[in-house]
Amino acid sequence: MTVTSTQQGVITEAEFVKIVILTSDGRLVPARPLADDERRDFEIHIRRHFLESLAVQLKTSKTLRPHGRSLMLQINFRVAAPLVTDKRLRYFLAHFDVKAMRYTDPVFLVPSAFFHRHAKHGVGRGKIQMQFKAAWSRVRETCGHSGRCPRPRWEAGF
Amino acid sequence: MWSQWALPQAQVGSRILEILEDLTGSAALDQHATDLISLPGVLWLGRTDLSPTVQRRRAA
Repeated sequence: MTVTSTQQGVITEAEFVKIVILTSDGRLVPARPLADDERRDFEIHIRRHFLESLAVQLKTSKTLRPHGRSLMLQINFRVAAPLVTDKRLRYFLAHFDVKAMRYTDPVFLVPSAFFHRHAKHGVGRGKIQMQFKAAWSRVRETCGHSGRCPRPRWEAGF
Repeated sequence: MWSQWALPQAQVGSRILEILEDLTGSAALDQHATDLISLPGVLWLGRTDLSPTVQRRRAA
């Protein structure tokens, strides 16, 4: 029996909450919007500081696709127009290893402006098709094992 | 293209903290800039709509 997409959503969101709290030493508070109609899974703020929050939309895959000798992380999904782009909205994209019961390094935290610009794959029946396709093996070689990913070059612009 | 946004999951919390602190800082700067610009005698050269114009009258 395989994990359904609904179960996958619940599991990966719980795992994301665990990571955010533990890797911030409890400083970050992820909260779920009650009405999930704005395509954001979490609103995250710094504990006891309510001025700013970061919205995060999760997109995960249980599989890595072979591509020659390497592996690709490919995530496809469709969203209804219009796309909401905001500097306070990021996409968290990751491979979830069902056997290991955790995400596999590296994961991706992409600003919505950059994501919408580069992942737009087509439009059909009133929906915008998005495709995230990363050379996962190569990125993993760069930063997955060492724990030192290159810093985003354009972080300030997003 | 996407590799610049990759990070180990152990760094997710610290990266989000950095992003939030940057957002808080820029919001504070925006407010500071607004306060400064609203001072009398201060011109914001990028906002031509707010720059005073000099009405010249032809000499009679």
